[in-house]
Amino acid sequence: MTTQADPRPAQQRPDSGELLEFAVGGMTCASCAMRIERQLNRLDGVTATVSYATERAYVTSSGGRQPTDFISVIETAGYTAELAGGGVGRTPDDQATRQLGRRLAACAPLATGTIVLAMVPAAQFPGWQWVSLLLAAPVAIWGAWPLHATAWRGLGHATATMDTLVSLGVIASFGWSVYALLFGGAGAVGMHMPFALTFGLASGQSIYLEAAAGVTTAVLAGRYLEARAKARSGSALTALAALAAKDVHVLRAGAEQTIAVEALQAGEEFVVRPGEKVATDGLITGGASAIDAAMVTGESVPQEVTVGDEVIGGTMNVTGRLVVRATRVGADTTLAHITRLVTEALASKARSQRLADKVAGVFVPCVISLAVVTLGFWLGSGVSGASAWSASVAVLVVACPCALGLATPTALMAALGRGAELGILIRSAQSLETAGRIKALVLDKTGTLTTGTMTVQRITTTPDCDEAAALRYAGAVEAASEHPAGQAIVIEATRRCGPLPTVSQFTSVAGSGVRGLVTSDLVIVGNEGFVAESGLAVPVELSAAVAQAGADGWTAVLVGWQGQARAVFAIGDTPRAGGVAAIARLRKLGLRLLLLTGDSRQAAVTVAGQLGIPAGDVIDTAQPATKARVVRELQEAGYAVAMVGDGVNDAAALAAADLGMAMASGTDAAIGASDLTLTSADPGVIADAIQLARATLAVIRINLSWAFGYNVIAIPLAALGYLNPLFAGVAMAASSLIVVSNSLLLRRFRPRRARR
Amino acid sequence: MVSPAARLLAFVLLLVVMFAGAYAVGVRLGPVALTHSEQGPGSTMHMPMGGRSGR
Repeated sequence: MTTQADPRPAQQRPDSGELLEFAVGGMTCASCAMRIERQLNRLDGVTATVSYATERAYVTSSGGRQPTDFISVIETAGYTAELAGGGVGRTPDDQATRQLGRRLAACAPLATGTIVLAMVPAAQFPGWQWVSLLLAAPVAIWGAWPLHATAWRGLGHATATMDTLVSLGVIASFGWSVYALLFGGAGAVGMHMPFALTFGLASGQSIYLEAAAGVTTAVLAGRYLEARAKARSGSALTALAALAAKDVHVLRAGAEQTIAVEALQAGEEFVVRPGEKVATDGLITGGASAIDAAMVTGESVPQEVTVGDEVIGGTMNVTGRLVVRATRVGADTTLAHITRLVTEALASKARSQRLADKVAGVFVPCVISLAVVTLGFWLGSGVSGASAWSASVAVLVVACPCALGLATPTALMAALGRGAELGILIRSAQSLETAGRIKALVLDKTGTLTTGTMTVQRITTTPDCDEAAALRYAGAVEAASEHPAGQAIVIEATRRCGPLPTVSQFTSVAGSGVRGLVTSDLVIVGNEGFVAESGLAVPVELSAAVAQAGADGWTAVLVGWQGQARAVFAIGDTPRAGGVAAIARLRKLGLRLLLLTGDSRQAAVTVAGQLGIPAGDVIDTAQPATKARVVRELQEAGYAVAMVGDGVNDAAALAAADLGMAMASGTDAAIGASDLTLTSADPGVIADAIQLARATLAVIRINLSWAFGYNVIAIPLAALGYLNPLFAGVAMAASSLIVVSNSLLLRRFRPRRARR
Repeated sequence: MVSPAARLLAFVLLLVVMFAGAYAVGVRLGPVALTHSEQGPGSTMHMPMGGRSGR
C-alpha cells in the first residue's frame, strides 16, 4: 500500500482546527481511553476523542498547540503516544513489534536454560538453582515488564485481563522462588529437584523459576506472532489527506498562479487540466470535461460536466480543461466532511473485548480468591507458614499455563497463513473474533460486486452493419481519445477485431463525442445529440437501444458514418465473475445482505437483479453519510455488521461497521479503515473470510477451553498441596501441544463452496 | 456506576472474609485433612531421592 503524506513536518502544518491523529500505546481497557480523553479535553480549545479499539487519539486544536504538547499530556497520564499517519518511515506498530522481537530474542535462550535445569535432574550441578535464578531474573523482570505495567494499570481500573493473570503468575512464582532460595532452604548447594511418579506434597523449598521464565517467554512469543501477523495498517485519515489536491492553479488578475490549496479562497477561480484532481468543491465557469468521481461518490460512470455544473474536490478530471469557481474550501468541503465521518466512526467504534480477556476477567478474581482460601485453610490447620504459602503460591503459578498465551496467537497465525492463500489479509485477532459473529453484511456495488471498470455490455446495430465493423470504426476513432467509455470500446474492438485502422483528422468535442477519418469515411462517435447534430440520421431501433441502455443504468455511445448512425454501444460496469455464487453462499451462511451504492436506482437494481439480490435490499444514490448511517441502523437493530467496500466514500461505513472488509484494489482510505483486506477479485472470498473467521473462532474457543481446562485439574491439586512436578510439566507441555496442533488444523481449512 | 476504587476495595474485603472463613474451616477440618494427607503441605514423606516436591 502506498500513501502520500503531507511532506511538511507536522509541526509546520497550520493548526487552526486541524485534526491530529496519535497512536496511543499502553491502554488496557476502555477506562484508559476515557482517562486520556479527559486529560486532553482539559486543555483550552482542544477537542479530543480516544478510541481503545483502534488505539488512536484524535485531537482537534484551535489554540496554536504543537503535537508534542498532546504527546506529553498522554505520556503524563502514563501511556505512550506518537503522531500517527506520517506514512514515512517506521510506524509505531513496527517499533512495538521490533521491541517485542528483541525482548523475545533475549528471553528465549534464558528461559530454555532455566527449563532444562529444572526439568532434567541430570543437569542439576551443585548450585544450579542460583544459576537458574540468574537466568530467570531478567526474563521475569525485564521480559515480562510490559505485562506487569499493563496489569498495574488495569488494577487502577479494577479490571483483570490476560496480562493480569500472567503478571500475577510470574510475580508469584519468581517472588516465591527468591524467598525459598534465600530463606526457605532451597538455596542449599547440592539441592536437587527430581521428578516423582507418585503424588508428592509441595514444600516450602519449591522453586518455580522455570514457570516464571517459561510462561513469560510463551506469552511474548504469542504476542510477537500476533504483532507480526498484523498487516501494516495504513491510516485511513492519511489516505484521505493524500486524496486531496496539494496545489491549485488559481486565476488571479487573469494570470494562472500555482499556490498551495490551503491558500485558495472561496469565490476564486482555478484551472483543472486533464489528469489533475479538482482542488476543492466548486462550480464550473468554463470548459467541459468528464469527471471521475468514483473515489469520492462511488458513481461508476464518469460524469460529463460543463459550465454551471458542480464538481467535488478530490475527484479526477479526465478529459478537458475546466475553469472552476471555488464554492467551499478547507473544512467545509465534501472530502473534509468524509474525513470527519471517518474520524467519528473510528473514535466511537465499540470495544470488542478479546475472548481471552473476557475469560480472564472472571478467572483472575476466582484464582486470587482460591489462593487466599488455600492460604487461610492451611494456616488454620496448623501447618508451617512456609508450607501454607507454598500451596497458595502454587495455585497462582499453575493458574497461568503457557497454552493460554499460545491459544489465540497460534490460531491467528494459522488462519492468517490460510487466509493469505485464499486472498484474505487479516489485520488482527480481534478482527477475526468479530468476523466470526457477523450477522449482517452491507455490500458496496462499484468495485466490490462489480469490476468498477467500464466495459461494453451490449451492441445494437442496424441491419446493414455488423458488430465487427461498428467496433472497428468506433475503436479506431476512440483510440485517439482518453474518455473511459471510449477506452471500453477500444478494448472490446481490439479483443474482437485485432489491430485497428489508423485515424486522421481527429477532433474531440468535450462531453459530447469524437470524430475522425477512417479509411476515407468520416466516423462520428458520441452521444445521441452529438451524432444527430453531426448530421447523421438515427434509426428508430437505435433510439430504442439508447433508451434501453439508460433504463439499465448504462451509458449509450453511438457510432455512424456515411450519413447514418450504425450502432449503439451500451457501456457500463460488469458484475464480477462469481458474484451470483458468492451471494448465494453468503445467504446460506445466514447473513442479512444489503446492497449499497452511490449509483442511480436503475444501475443499482440492474446489477442487484443480475446478482440475485431483491430490489428491496438495494439502497441507491447513497452518500458517505448514508452508508455509515445504514451500518449504524443495522447495529442498533442488534446485528453485528460487516461492510465490504473499496472507495473513499465507503471509508466511514467501513470504520463504523463491526468488521470492515476492503477490496485490495480499493483506495488506501478504504483499506486503512477496514479490518480485513480481500486480495482476490472473486467476491466468493467474502464468504470464505466469514467461514474462515467462524472456523478460527471455534478453534480459539477450543484452545482456551484446553488451556483453562488444564487449570481445572491442576488448581485443586495445587490448593490441596499436591503439585506434582511431573504432572504439572507434562500437562503444561501437553496442553501447549494440543493448542498448537489444534491451531494447525486451520491450515487445512477449506471453504465450503456452494454447488453450482 | 461503582468506581474502580470501590470495586477494588469490595474485592479486598471479600478476600479478607474468605481468608477468615477458610482459616476457621482449616482449624476445624485441618487435623482431618492432615491425617488424610499424612503431613499436609511441606511434607517430605514419600518423596523419592529423600527429596522434596515442587516443579
